[in-house]
Amino acid sequence: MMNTASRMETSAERRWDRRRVVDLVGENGFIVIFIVWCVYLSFATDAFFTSRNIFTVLRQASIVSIVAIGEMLVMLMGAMDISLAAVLGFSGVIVAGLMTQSGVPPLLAGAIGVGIGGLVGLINGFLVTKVKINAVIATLGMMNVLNGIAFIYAQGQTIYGDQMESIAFLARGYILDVIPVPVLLMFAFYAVFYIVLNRTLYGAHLYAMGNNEKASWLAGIRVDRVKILAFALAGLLAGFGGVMQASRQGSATGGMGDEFLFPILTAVILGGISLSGGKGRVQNTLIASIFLVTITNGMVLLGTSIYAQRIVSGAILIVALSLDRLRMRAR
Amino acid sequence: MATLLDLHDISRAFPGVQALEDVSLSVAEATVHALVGENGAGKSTLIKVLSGALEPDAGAMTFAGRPYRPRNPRDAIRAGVSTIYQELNLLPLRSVAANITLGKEPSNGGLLDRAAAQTQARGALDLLRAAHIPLDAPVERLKVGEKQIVEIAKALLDQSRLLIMDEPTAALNSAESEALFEIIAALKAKGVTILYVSHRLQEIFRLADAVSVLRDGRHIRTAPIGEVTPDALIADMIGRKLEGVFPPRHSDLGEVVLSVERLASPGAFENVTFELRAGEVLAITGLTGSGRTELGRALFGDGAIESGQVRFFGGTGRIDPARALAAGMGYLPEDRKVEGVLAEVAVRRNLALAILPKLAQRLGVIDRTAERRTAQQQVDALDIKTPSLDQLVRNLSGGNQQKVALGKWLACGARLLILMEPTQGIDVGVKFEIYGLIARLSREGVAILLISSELPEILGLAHRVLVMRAGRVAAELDAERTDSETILRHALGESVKRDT
Repeated sequence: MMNTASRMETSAERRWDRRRVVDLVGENGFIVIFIVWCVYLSFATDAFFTSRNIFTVLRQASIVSIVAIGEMLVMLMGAMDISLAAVLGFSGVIVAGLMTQSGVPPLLAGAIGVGIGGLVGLINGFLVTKVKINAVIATLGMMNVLNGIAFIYAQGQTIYGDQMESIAFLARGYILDVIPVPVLLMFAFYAVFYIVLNRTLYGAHLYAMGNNEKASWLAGIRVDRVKILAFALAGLLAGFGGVMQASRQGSATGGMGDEFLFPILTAVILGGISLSGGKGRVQNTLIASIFLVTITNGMVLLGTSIYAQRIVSGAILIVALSLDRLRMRAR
Repeated sequence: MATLLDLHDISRAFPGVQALEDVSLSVAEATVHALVGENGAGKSTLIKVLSGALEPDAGAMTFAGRPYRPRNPRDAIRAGVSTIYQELNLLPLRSVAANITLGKEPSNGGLLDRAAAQTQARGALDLLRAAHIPLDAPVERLKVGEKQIVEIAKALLDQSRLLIMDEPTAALNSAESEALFEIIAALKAKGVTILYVSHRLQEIFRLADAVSVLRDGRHIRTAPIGEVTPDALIADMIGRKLEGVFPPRHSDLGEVVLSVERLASPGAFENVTFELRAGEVLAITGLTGSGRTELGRALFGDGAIESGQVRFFGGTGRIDPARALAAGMGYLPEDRKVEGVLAEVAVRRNLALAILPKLAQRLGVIDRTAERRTAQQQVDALDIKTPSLDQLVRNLSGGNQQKVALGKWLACGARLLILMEPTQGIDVGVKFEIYGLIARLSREGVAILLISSELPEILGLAHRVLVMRAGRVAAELDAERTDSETILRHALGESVKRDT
């Protein structure tokens, strides 16, 4: 009797071990691909493995990776926010407009940009929880509204002016002449949200809801509040991303957020956040954001065409999603 | 003894069903109060009302002398009412400790106190004598019984004054159950009140101080446990004899159309063997969780089969809905609105759904005239009450939706029907129409697998009854020579008097 029981247990354990391997590969497989890619580039090009290029890559990754944190919060709950790139563009245009055209001091303008992002996030959260619109649909609508307003506000022009230089340090500044400010900001945000997700009550509730929203509700968690806050945080981060992008360009246009739509989602999904929510690590989103930049960076260094770059980044997203499905099927 | 909980005329309706009707009852403090009733008697709805998961349509409650009207589970837990649900509400990917402390995670200024969470979870598990459950393991890796223990530990941590337990032992082995019974006794001694919902009469007579019976959403009686016998409880649960008349059974059975041999599905059922003949109505019954539902689903290819063999119409191999349909099988799922009909689609299209390929042989274009003709035939044959063929199914009554779901299979000439709870949530009038239809189909030689928890319809319609308990066939009975009591006893696992 004892014998059979223990034998059953070991076979069960073996099954869990296999599942653990599948989990590990599914969740971290892209990191292996990333490392292989970096090693290859280090040998194939002279320019890749230089501190200058590495900082360039990190600097380029900074804005996407910061906004991706917000997308990650939303996707951890099993929802999705399509509007974040539009929030970024909207915030960027407003900040640039306020500074160059209305003479608002840079600090206040930046705060308004970030605040508007948060407000949009609040509205998204409200639409999803109270009006009960599907998150993708609600934020898709929001995206179009914001894009429209941004273009009208900018009157279809590029907004620029000397005043923009006062926020240039955000995306173009260096600390001690070596470390780029945006890279520092990126790591700081990730450190904060690492703690939020892994060490705080809020993080625990976010993961809980992504796992089983009904069980969370039955356990007395205020699921609507958790959701609204996630959308609001995503909006705030996207708003900040907009200020950074305005700083980086030294100007703003109505469509300045467009190029971010795809990278934000790709970074989060590639980073292993399950589309059904409840699982994923914030640090993997960071690595995935950097990976995405090295694809472009590496292909430029290798002299490949810009179109081939799109093929590769699209293919990588599909591979990442296949890994996600593989992981689910192993359950 | 002081009254802790008082219900006054609580009612709650769902579309087509009055789940609770003017239920009034009192629960005394520091007692174990059992709640019994057949499937569909309203127990689950009552639990949801008490735990804040559902709001009643009418009526009032008092708890600990105060008006009690929880608008969500949070209100209930704060007022001191915790619930252990039968369907496990766990977070599969999160750790055992995270699950046990869910919603009440110890924290300092928003920062989680992991050590405290571990200590609390460990304490609750120790109390349940389940120290072997690893605190860091994701819950999805636990066995069913262990998951149930985690669910119980979750509620223990609330330190509530009223603990509602819905079939807590359904997934536990006897050692685990014993530990739970001791906990219940200890909690009672500490002044905690327990509302114990269970089908297992033995447990109720062992644990409870008082028992309340629900039937058809009504409160039948509440009595001290010393004043009732198991027989009296069963009689109260079943209630009056059948209303309405069932059509006579015919005895003209044909050849075997479905044969199932040693069928097993992990965690659902095992070693199920039976045959079904053309023209036969074979009922499969059992309590919730006995495996009857999973068996029905698996036979239409919706659910895993681990081992065993199914032959239908002589063919074997893997079953999936498309193959089953092609072979002449039809399936009425339990969740009509989600799986049985396309609610947002016209009656016409719903009825023609299973024969659409036949209607669309010219370049894939659907022959709309033929579609209307087919649909009209079924509407006439089944007397489906709909203003037009273009009406959306969503707008029909539950009974008529069910007829549409059934008509879809009749339109394609199914010779074997798997009917899952075909009259659940349907008005009495339409119920008997559906009974008439089942009898007519069986006379016409259609084989029918009737998976049902309604004893009257089983006794009134079936030729044979298989009673399932804990995933196995506990008894095979001749429906004409048995009664509700015998079936219920087999389903409950009560010792059966040998008088058949």
